[in-house]
Amino acid sequence: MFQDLQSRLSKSFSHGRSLLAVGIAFTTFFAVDVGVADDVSPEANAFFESRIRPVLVKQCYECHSADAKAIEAKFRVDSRNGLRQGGESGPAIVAGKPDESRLILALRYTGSEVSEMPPSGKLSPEVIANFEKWVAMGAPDPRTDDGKVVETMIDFTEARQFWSFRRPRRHAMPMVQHTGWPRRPLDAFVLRKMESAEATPAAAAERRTLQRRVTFDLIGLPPTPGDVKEFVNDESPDAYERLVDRLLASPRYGERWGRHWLDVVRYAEDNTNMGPHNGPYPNAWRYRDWVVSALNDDVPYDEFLVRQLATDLLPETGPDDLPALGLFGLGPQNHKEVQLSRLVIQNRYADDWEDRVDVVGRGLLGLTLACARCHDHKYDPIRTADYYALAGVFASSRQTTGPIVAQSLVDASEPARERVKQLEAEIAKLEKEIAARKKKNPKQDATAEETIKLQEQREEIAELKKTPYFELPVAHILTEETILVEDTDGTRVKLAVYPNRPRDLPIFVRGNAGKHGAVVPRRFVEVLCEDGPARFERGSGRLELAHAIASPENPLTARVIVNRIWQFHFGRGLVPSPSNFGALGERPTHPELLDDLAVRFVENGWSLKWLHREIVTSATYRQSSTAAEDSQRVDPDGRLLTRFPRRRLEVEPLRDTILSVAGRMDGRIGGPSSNVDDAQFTRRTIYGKVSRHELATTLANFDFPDPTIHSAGRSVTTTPLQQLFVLNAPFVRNAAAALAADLLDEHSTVAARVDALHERLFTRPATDEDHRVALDFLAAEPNSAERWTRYVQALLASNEFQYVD
Amino acid sequence: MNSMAPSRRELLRTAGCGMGLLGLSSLLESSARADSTAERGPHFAPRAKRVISLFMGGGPSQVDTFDPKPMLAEHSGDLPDDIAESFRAERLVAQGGLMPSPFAFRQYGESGIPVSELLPRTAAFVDEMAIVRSLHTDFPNHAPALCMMNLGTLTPTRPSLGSWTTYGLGTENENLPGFVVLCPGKPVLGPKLWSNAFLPGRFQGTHLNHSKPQPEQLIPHLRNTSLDQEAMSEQLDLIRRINVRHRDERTEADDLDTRIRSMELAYRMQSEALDAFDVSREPDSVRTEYGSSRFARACLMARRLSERGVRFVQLYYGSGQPWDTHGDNDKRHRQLCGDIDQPVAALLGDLKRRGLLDETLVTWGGEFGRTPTTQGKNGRDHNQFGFTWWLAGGGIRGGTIHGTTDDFGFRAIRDKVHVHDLHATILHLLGIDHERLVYRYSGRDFRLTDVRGRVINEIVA
Repeated sequence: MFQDLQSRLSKSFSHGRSLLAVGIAFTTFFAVDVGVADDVSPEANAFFESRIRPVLVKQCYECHSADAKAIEAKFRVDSRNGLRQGGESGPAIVAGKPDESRLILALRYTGSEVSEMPPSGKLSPEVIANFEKWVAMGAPDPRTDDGKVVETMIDFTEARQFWSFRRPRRHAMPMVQHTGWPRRPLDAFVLRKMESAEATPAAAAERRTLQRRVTFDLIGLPPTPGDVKEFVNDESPDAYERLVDRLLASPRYGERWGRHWLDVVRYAEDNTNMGPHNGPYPNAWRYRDWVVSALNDDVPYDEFLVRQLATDLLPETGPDDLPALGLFGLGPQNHKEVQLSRLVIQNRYADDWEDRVDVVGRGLLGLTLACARCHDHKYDPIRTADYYALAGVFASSRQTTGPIVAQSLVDASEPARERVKQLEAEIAKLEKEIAARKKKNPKQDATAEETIKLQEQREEIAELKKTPYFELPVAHILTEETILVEDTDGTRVKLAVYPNRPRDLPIFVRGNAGKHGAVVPRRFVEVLCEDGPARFERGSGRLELAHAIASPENPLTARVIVNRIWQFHFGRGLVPSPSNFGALGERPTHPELLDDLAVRFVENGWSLKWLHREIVTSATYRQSSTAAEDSQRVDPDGRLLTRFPRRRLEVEPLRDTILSVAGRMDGRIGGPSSNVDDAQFTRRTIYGKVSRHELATTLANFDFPDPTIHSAGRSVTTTPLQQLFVLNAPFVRNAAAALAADLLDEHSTVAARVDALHERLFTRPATDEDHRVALDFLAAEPNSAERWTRYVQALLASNEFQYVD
Repeated sequence: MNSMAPSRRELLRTAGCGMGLLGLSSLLESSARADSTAERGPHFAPRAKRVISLFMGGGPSQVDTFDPKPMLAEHSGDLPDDIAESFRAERLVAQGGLMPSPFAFRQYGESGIPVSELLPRTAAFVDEMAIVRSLHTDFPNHAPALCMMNLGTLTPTRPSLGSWTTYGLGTENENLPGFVVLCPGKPVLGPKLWSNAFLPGRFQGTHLNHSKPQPEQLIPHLRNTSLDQEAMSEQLDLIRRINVRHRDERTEADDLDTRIRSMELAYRMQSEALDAFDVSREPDSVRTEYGSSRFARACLMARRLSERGVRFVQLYYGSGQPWDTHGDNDKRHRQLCGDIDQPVAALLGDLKRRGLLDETLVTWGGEFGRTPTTQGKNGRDHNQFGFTWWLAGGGIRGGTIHGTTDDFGFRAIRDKVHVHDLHATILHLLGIDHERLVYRYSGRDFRLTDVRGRVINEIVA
């Protein structure tokens, strides 16, 4: 029955119907011999031709013939040998024995280990009876062709011609007509595209609009009135560049962009269901803090990746860097019920590995590698061997917790922990004795001697706990250990841990851990290795994997991150499918721009801050969000970048801004997480707990992505529940009240208050119309705190507050 | 009564929509498309418009409820090879021999379908039901089986049946969530079971803990605790005025219009939702009919939501997995069935009287069934090889038994129905072709039934 299960799993990765014309070559080879048919009687021949062959052609050929797009289960029914020999699962027919023939079992839909076929529905009883009869007759088959070898081969040289598998290169800046427009190299590429479509760029954004935009974009908060004054009054030609520098230097930058990264790596602090072997992760926040700090320090992106995959294997980093391993240390784990059989548990581990390969694949490389768990990828040049070569790395690593201080400190504090354990045991024993005695005779309480002893022991514990590093700080990490599922006494399996015993996995045929194909050495993805993939030799191979990803030779890594950063700035990537650079992904709208930027990004030391600067100081980024008239027609959806796309604040900047404008934001950086739904929680939203089991309502209502799985980007939905939050949540009301109190305190007239409020919320002075609207609402009670609170809340609920031009 | 039903629903649907919208409607006409509720279906004439799913988390025992097995008594204590071997392949827990059900089965209705003595009132509706006795699923643990039953996959990464349904059909009442999940507390796995996964956020189920006494506690921030109706209305006018001007200064304003409209919806939702969730507004006679238990309250609330156009109401019997009777199977089934019998019968009867049963699909069942063998002293273990669900109402051929388990009620052997088939059938009844309801994500089209699923035409009227 688990084969049945696994074939379902394997099916779950088959892809859409339409095979697009793809730029890679699959060549199907099969040797054709001419065989000689057994003697088939005329009656048998007639039976086959009238009752069997038509059904095979109609019901089976689509997936099980030489003409099938991909021959399912390597099983062909369009030849005699193919039908007899069967496919991956073994012989399909035992001549004369319908009940033992897999073909018949499949048709019967018995739900046994054999997949039910055809998948579109059970055939009629008459047809099935015909097949049974035919097999009972000895399965006479007059066909003479022979479809023996069925193997999909990939011509990797040709496959590497696909755009995303070719190494990116520098491109000369294209010639443009409007030569005064470009500010940065990327602008020339953008303008060239516009000009060839006869579109023109939008006007430059007004200064305050731009400041508001770039401030939200880089630090996730609005500019303060002080910031605005500083920038607006700065008449030097590089005022904007210096504003950008100030923002990138702010520790708020890491909080803003760290959160973007956490989406990519499906950061969470627990699991969907929890048990002894799968979370929660109480120290998850250390990884979150590591990410924030690494971004603030502008750790080069290649190093950023290597440390997250394998900092424990680097000589230059110490135990304090171990939280970096949270990338996989916090990976979602499926519950392992040790009372189930070995095979069942092995399949659950295999489910875990799929997540790891998916994060490497879609997250870091923009490739849907996990599709190759059960079959060769249907559209990209990725084989199951590639999948298991990577899964082997994770099968040779263990998710666990470990101290993040030097071993000497662990050792030095260890005696104290040992002693406390001993003392606690003694106390427990004595207390139990006293309790037992007392139960018999209530008068026999602890003796004076015992009381003193307990007292002394407790004092000693208190003293010992003051030992430095008594409580060891720990992080969720990976270690060089392998977990094997082993049988024990027949009542439960054992999850046995073996240090330094890396293992190569066999291919799990159709995803079934119980059905092994060839063993695949741990190595990188073949199509990404021009000289052929080298076997990983060092331990699990994590460090080698990290280097293979974070390499300028890798055609995808730099492109993928440059595209993601672009997407976070503009709302859409140059490749609109940011996690799929394969055949079914979208092609880049500006391929030369993407390549040029990717190459220069690597040349500039993989610096993300360099990349941000390059993008946000461009003329493209500095456009108004209102397109020029001709461009509105030519480029209605903004693919040509003829305007800056207006964007709604995500939940983090929205909530943070409500706190910040009300002067209520607790700006402390880092540390354990709290409940973001709590109206009294006033830290930035990134410090709210992220749960796979139950996502906080505030996050769930505002499009926070499911943290169980890699997120390629957030959707933007508009629901009444979101509006109930801004209209009714005490969190918003409290902020409005605090802000109203401030205004009443600081300014004496309605006009002055309205001015100050608009500056603070919208980064602009109030217009005459704003004053009129305010007066209409406030005139009756111009000094009422309640009235002002309602007015302020209305502004907090308004579109202008939530949308950034 | 029948002819009254639609107009009553119409009334409910439009109630509370009369406020200050006239001026706005023309402004918003152009943007209606941007926020239009999904229209990916129906693909053909629906037989049911809505679903009420009664979910018995933990897995009820089929041989004690809807799948009588007299042979168990004859072979009490035996352990047939098939069962022993199936267990050996997957689990290490010792299984005892066959344990007969102590409950008598009696035939009901014109169809004469036998039902256990534990469910006499529900059994009165067998002529409305199709009883599927041959379900099977893929995993013997709760979490993966719950995922399979709700998401169509063993791992928690796909959208739920309710999310797919609302994605496919949209909502009939924009003032209420389209997919509501009622559970006192949380079932095992909780929100994953009503997750939208990669579908847009508005398709996630809204979970309500119906054991909370006040309707306003059910939806977060449903009631404004600071302002009265008049003050809220005044504030909303202010927001509208600010937003309309902001919008008029901008081009390409679909997103802005959508949120303006959403603000109006939120405002109306406050009164409509409070009304929908308030079962105390039902006449005494109706409340008496359902009974006074927590589950009764949920069934009544489900009817109120459903008749107001909530597309998918899923009702978990209890927090955790109450039907997971590893010990004291008989005693606990007596208590559990005793608790659901009256409310379920009342729900079916009430829907029927109101003419709603024809267009409402009601389903009953858990993530798997239970073994015919003993676990421990007097319990039954999980059984994914064969178990029972029933479906009633919209489009169902009443009085039908579909599929058969073996002599002991262990394994489905004839007309087997996989969970994918059940999903395909539910979507079919709603007018959705399960193969056409797809969503493109991560480079390919996903669907609830994966590449499986066969509509069980035999139970469709």
